[in-house]
Amino acid sequence: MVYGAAYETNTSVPEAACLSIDPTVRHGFSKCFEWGFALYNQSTDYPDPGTGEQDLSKAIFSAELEGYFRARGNDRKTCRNQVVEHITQSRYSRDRVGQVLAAIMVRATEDRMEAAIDLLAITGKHVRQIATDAAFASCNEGPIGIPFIPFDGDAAYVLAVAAGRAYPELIGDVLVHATSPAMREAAAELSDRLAPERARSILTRLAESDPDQTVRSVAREMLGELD
Amino acid sequence: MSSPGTNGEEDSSSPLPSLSPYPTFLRKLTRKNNWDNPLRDCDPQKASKVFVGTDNVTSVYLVHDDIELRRIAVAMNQYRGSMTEKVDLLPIRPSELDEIGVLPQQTPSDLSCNLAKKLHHDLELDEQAAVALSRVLIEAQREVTRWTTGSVSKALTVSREEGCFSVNPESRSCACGGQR
Repeated sequence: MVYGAAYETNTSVPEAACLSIDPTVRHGFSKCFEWGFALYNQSTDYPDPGTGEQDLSKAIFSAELEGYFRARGNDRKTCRNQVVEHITQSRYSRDRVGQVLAAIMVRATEDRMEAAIDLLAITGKHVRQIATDAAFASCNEGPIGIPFIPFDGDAAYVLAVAAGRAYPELIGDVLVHATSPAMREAAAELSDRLAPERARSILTRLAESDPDQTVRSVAREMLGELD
Repeated sequence: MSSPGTNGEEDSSSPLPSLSPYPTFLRKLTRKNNWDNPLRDCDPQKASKVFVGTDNVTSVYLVHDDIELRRIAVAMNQYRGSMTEKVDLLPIRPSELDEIGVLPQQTPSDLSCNLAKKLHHDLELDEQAAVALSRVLIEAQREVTRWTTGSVSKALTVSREEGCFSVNPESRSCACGGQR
């Protein structure tokens, strides 16, 4: 099951909703929105557009986000700041972070994952809370409380790395205990941000007794780097 | 071929990672395990995911010695949240691209680093070619080379002294020969 199935407009722009925006208003939208919108205009895979304020906001954010993923160099940096501003100032901040993760679940290239990590790491408290919630959610629960949405793999890894990078105290207190193996893998990867003794204790535990082979392997490798 | 501005001398500030033999192409990975796990499981289909790029274009850098490797590893962090993020690089030998019939195209890099601009290449890899390349690399038991935060920090200091444009926007010239 794809995360997007329940979160319908997570990666697609409802065309009608965007076109209904007054052109003078649309003119003021960010460059990354314009890029993202153009990108989606080429696609025929639009879901039913929403009509409410939240649907429109979600659609605009989807376009901005795709524009950000598409941008390179300094343009990407500029877009990142705009997308972060959107997330932090939105009334639906939590949903916006969810949209970023959904975009990764739908298409997780190396480049998009890196961009998502860099983005989420500077969104502040929202990513912290969502990472904490996701760490202790059951396997069938999404990071933003939507039931029956599998959440693991690359999106979980991205969320954990971003959160752990912004809040290193989460690494040992939260991420290492996560139900998701990808989040524990991230904890091991991020352990070099902790004091060496703390890192060693976490890595030793993961290397010796984590139920997931990949996590044990990453922990062993990171232990080697500590020595 | 040696890196411009180095006269081919060895970097005495080891131990920084090396990828000898050169030349070699470098593919940067975000999640190292996306390569490590399929390598362990001998699964080229899954491994090929690391080569998925926008419009079937995969970005790589061609390096000819340890000094170019060091400069590129540092420059790759230019637009990241921190200049000292760890960097995971998957080496691809030119002969391995020949084997699957892929011709790298030299294209400008988005990085400010003068050397990176020259060494950047695009690989046109559709799904089939990505799987074929993964198969070749898995057969060669190719492992990812990690630049830890410590290695990157060390290399960053050198790049600063050299005047790399990715590291120091005010620099007018770089030891690699770049001028502006």
